[in-house]
Amino acid sequence: MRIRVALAAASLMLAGTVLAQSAPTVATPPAPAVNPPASPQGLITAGRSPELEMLFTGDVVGFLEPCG
Amino acid sequence: MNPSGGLARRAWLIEQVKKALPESPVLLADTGNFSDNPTPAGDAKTRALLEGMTRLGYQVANVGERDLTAGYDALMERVSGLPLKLVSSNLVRQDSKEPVFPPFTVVKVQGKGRKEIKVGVLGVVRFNPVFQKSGPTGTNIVIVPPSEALAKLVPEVRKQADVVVVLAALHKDDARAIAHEVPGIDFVLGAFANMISGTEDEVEGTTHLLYVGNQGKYVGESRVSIAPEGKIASVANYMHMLTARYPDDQATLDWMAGPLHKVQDIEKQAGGAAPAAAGGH
Repeated sequence: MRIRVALAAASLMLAGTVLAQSAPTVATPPAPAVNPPASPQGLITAGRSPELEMLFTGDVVGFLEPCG
Repeated sequence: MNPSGGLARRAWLIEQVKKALPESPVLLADTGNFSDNPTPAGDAKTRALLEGMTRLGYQVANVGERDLTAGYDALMERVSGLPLKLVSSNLVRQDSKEPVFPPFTVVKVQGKGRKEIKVGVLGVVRFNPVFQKSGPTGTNIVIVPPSEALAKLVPEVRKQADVVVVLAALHKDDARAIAHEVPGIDFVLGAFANMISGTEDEVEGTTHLLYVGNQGKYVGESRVSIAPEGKIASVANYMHMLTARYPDDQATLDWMAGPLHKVQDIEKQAGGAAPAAAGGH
């Protein structure tokens, strides 16, 4: 009988220790948002439409066709 | 060999961006030095490129030193009749020091269901004290230091615009110096030799810097989120290297056949041994 009581008490203490150790102390950060590709080729990143979209080129020096 | 760039891929990209971001207003700009060599074939290519850019919806271009190789009149002939706005803040008349081109423009853009955005666009070339080209009405064109010109203009542009952009045909180090010396510039969009920005947002003070490389191989993309009070909340940049992964826009490819045929005819008339033009190889 004494052994059973001792075992039960030990089990309760162990369970309490495990619970205390596993209690979350820091919130898990959310996974970063990933914009899915918008074009079939995956070349344009989708996402919220910004207030302004700027596209630009420069120093084109007359290249109508691909270069290189 | 992995040729990159070309107007047809550029057209495809622009169309896809508009589809992906249907509510966003788009500013399409060129930072200058768009011109081929000043030969008959080169001039035909430059004219075709400018026509193609207006077909794609470009609103504004900076004037680079290269664009004035054959002087003011030759440039104006190549842009004749096109709705593309040319700007330059630091190309001035030698006699009066007045700007030769509009020193800035305000481009109004509006997305679907969005309020209108006024984008003030200025343009600069690197300071070159020995530059001198024939200008309008008998005068020459010279260059004044870009910071000096911008310091006078930016406060006025700031009053008229929600976003202030400087198109820059100068070294990135010069662009950083401008960002330090001239407050009120939101973006420097530049091209100089092969300087290419990554996707990181490079900021000098409060000015965002983005460089796009050369020869039309890249298109720079900047997505600008603006807070309700009008301040720039965030910027996301993408650099598109137009390799063969980017499909051609067929309509643009079909349209290009005409101008390219004309260029070939000019080269044949020149005896097939015309000096190699820079573009189109």
